[in-house]
Order: sequence, then structure tokens, then C-alpha cells
Amino acid sequence: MSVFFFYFLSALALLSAVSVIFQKNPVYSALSLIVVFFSIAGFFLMQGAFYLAVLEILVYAGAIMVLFLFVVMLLKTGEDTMLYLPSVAKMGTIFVFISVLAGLFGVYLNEHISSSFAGKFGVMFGQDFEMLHAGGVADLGGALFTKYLFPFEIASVLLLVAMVGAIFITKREKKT
Amino acid sequence: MIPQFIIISVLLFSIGLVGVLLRRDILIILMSTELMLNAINLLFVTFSRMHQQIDGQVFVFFIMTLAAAEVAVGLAIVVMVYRRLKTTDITKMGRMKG
Repeated sequence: MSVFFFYFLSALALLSAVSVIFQKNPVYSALSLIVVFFSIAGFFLMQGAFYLAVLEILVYAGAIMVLFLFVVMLLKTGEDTMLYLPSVAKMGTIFVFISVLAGLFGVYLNEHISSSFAGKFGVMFGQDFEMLHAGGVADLGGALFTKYLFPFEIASVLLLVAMVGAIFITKREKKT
Repeated sequence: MIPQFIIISVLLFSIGLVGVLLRRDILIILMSTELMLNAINLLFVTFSRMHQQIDGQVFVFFIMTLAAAEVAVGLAIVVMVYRRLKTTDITKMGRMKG
């Protein structure tokens, strides 16, 4: 059951992610991105990160994407914004895609296969782990307010700065 | 299921990277950045489960904060640029004067 759920969610996430970058209309891109966020929230649930799953839907699908949709609908975006790159640059993009993918997989496979790491990482990757039974609000809050108290305060200052900055940037200049 | 989660995360990150490279609408570039950040979030949660420690999930919390701030400022800049240049096409923004 869990395996079926995982493959369903991953197919959904990958298809929607491809749809995000290949839709012509930015509104459809934003809607596809919401589907990606929901499937990532499902992944979080599968891994026992319950609070983060709720937060993912609230913050990303709720707040950030609403902001995106507002701006997309506010602006009249171009009709055809697909990149019309010359074919050399398009080849370059595909090359970058393949090389990044190969690099990341290479790091992973290296850890996976290499016998020198087999003592530690091979065994780690080979076996499956049970859920981390500490994904609730209480566990996350406990870590957040003891070990990570200072970064938490910094994050609140960051949010304040972003809020003031966004208001300041979009403020209309007074005609003098 | 750990390797499958890592593979999905890597694939999502690569798709987001292609989106940044291939599109010229600045809104879609910002959305692809969000996609990449989410792939990293998934990777952090997976590693948090792998090491049986909560610290990875705390990092995801901070990344979400950062993403919210980034989107707020980024979209403000997009709106401002649109007000001046009447476009969201990054190829038409390549000039350094007001």
C-alpha cells in the first residue's frame, strides 16, 4: 500500500513538475506547482514529518502560490514566453540537465556501490529505516526553541526585513 | 524507501534547474526556484529520517521561511520592473539604466 502510494505520488510530482516548466500560460504553471507541493506534502507524511506536511500546504500552497497567482493575474505576461533559444544554447541546456543529473546520481551511486564506503554508507543506503517518530509539533518546537533558538530569532528578523522591503520596493514614488 | 526518495528529489531539482535555464518569463523562473527549494526540502526530510534526528526537519522549517521572504521580495521586484518596462521577459530587461 505504502509502495503504491509512493509511486503514485512520485509520478504525480514529476509530471506536474514537467508541466510547470513547459506550460505556456503562467497560471497553469502555478496550478501545476500547487500539485507538486501537495505531492511533496504527501512525501512528508510518508516519512513521518506530519507538522512539515501541514506547513507545506499552508505556507507553500496557501500563501506563496496565492501570492504568485495574484501577481500573474495582475501582470499581463507575454503570449509566448517559452524560450526560443538558438539550438546550440538549447543543446547546452539539455547538456547541463544531463550532467547535473548524472553528477548527483554519480555521487549517490558512488556512496552506494563503493566498497570503501560500504562499511558505513552502503549499509545505510541498503537497509530501510522506520519512520522517525518525532515529526509532530511538540518535537519540532522543542528543537526549535532550545537548540535552534538563535536561528529562529534571526529568521523572524528576516521575515520582518522581507516584509518591509517588499512594501518599500512596491511603493509608488510621489510625484514632486 | 530511502533511495527512491533521493532519486525523486534529484529529479525534481534537475527539472527545476531546466526551468530556470529554459524559460524567459521571470515568474516561471521564480516558480522553478521554488521547485528546486522543495526538492531540497524533501532531501532534508529524507536524511532526517535516515539519521533518526529531527535537525533536518528544523532546517526545512528555516528553508520555508527563506522561501517566503524570497518570494515576497522577488515578486515585489517583478511588479516594479513590470511597472517600468511593461514586460516580464528577462531578455528585455538587459539594460542597466532606470
